[in-house]
Amino acid sequence: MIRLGGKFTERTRPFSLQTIQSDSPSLLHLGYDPSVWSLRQTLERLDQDLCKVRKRYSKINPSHGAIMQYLRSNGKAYYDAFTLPSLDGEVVTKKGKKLGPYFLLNNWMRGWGPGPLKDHAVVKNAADIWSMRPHLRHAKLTEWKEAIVRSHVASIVNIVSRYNDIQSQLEAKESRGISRLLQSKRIIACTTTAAAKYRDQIKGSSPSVLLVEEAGEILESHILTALSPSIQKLILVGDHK
Amino acid sequence: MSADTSPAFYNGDVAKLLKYLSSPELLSVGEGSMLKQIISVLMDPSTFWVQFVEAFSQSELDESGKFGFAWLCYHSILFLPHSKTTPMRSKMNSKGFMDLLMGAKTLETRNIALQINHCLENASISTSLTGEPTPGGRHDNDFADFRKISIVPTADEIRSTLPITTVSSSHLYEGTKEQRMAAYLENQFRLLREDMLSEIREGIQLASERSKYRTLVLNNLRLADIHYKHAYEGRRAVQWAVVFEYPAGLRPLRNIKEQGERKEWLQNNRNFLRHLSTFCLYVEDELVALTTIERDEDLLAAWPCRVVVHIEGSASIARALVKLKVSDRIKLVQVNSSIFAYQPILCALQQMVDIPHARELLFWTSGMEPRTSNSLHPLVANLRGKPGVARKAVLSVGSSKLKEVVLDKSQVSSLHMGLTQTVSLIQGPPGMCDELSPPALSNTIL
Repeated sequence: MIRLGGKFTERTRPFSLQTIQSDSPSLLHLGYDPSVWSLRQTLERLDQDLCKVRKRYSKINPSHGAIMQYLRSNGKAYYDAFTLPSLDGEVVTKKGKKLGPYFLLNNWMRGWGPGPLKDHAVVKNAADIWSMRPHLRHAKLTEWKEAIVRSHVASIVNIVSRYNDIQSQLEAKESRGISRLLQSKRIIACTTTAAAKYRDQIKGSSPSVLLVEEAGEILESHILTALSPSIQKLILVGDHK
Repeated sequence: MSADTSPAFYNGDVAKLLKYLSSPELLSVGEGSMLKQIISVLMDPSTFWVQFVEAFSQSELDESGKFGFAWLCYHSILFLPHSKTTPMRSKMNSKGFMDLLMGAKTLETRNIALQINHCLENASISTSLTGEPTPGGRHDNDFADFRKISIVPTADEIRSTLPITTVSSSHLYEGTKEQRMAAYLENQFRLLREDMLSEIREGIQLASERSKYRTLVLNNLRLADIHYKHAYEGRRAVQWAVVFEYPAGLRPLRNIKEQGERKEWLQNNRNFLRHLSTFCLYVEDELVALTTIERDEDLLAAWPCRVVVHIEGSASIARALVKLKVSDRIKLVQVNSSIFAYQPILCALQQMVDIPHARELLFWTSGMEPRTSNSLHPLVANLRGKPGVARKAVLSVGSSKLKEVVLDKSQVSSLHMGLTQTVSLIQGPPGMCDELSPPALSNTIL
């Protein structure tokens, strides 16, 4: 007899799957399997892809340049408002430095005004943009940054999904050892959660009878998932009150 | 309406008008016919619409403007005849348009965006506006096909207050056997999942109300790595996970200086940050995803402490990766409910295609004869002959430790039924059933 499921008492300990897994893991070992090897290769490759991708992700930086580029196609009014007009070099910052290309955007982002350019036509035409309150500016900024990051993230999510998929397949293969162990037992005792978790392994051992105790306390869906096609008898015992 | 094309107009008066129009009461007036008329007037001539679209694509709309725009799009598709909305729909299908709408900050706008997407995907348009809610498109994890639903809930789904959709009873009781079985499976899935969702929602509510020391909150986390590689060879590979650095350090470990001792403490207190427990990931106080803990004691005991979490479902992963890059304030809040208790069963329901013994379990009508299986014939014959006394002989097979008991007539007949019928239900007052029948049955079956 074998017991699947989290908890066990002293009396049931020798039958528990966890005990077998820790004390005699050789019972679960199946030997060389070529399909497992090829899955591991694929997983290795995806793992390396993820390592490369993690560098790329850390480099993603919605910088001023990236934002301006984004705004050029998705926010023309803003793009026009922040594009530095051609000056003749007579305008400088308070500290006397020359204005950088992202001067206006930077000031706007920080919640400041247009500074020395406030009388310029470019700024006057975008009066409503410059009159936006700080929290609104912050919201807009987050929106643009997220849109920029989102385009990079799509490829990462793709690799992650494939990685997880292969990982699940590998886990399924490795649990075939459990399947073989179950086949050698006459009684499998388990909780409803364990019956669902080890569903494929139990199915592999073709049980013919399913006996459910305290059926009045168990949800329908739990019993449904425990039914395998090989079951010839279903016995539900319980208190209907 | 078409006179003023400034963003202020769209964000101000237009937004207010559309917000007013979006109230549910208006929808029910004349079964939606009044609303239909208003929308027809708004959309024709198309100058207003064209300018509105332009304002939207140029990021000139604020949140309320966006909501109005989304609402107008959606209801135009619903109300106006198919031919009139062709240019509109092709615009919506164009690249980047839906992404822009779905990136909106408010939940309501995002929900409408999903509904638009859903409509655009199905060629036919749902006509039962005032009827029962139909599944699909109401948030980013709502699909008509329940097999597409990601088992781990997404943040939008948790925050959605829309009612659960269950399969209508007509699908359960009418139609072919296959249809009824499929409807039954789907219903079981949706109901169980709603149980899980309400437990999670309750857990989150409790976590936000109670004083902080009761709920475990890890504040001011920093994203350390988007790919968790387990440190040692011996450790088995796991599903993709993200690593956060926790500069403040876990509270119980703050006074333990020695790393080895910290690891030992963690090993002795497995319930603290229990493996696979559920935590909510918040970025800038907005719920982004549900995560499950991967308890790596070496990383937790290290200095600075590192916490590893799994995020499941591509929608949630994408969302998390975007938000974590853009914003700074990251925190993890423990939720008392556990997804892993529900997960295997929900997974199994999604995979099932057939229900064994459906004849007895689902399609039973009075007057039907229960099927029998013949495998235990000799035992059965033995039982039938001599009630009570015969029990002794039968039970002693298999285990000598079992006491010899005498069963009364009803117990014998229930034992008999259990052995012969394919599906049997045995019920009775406590004590009578549970001690006797299961071990007795299993022993005799063996």
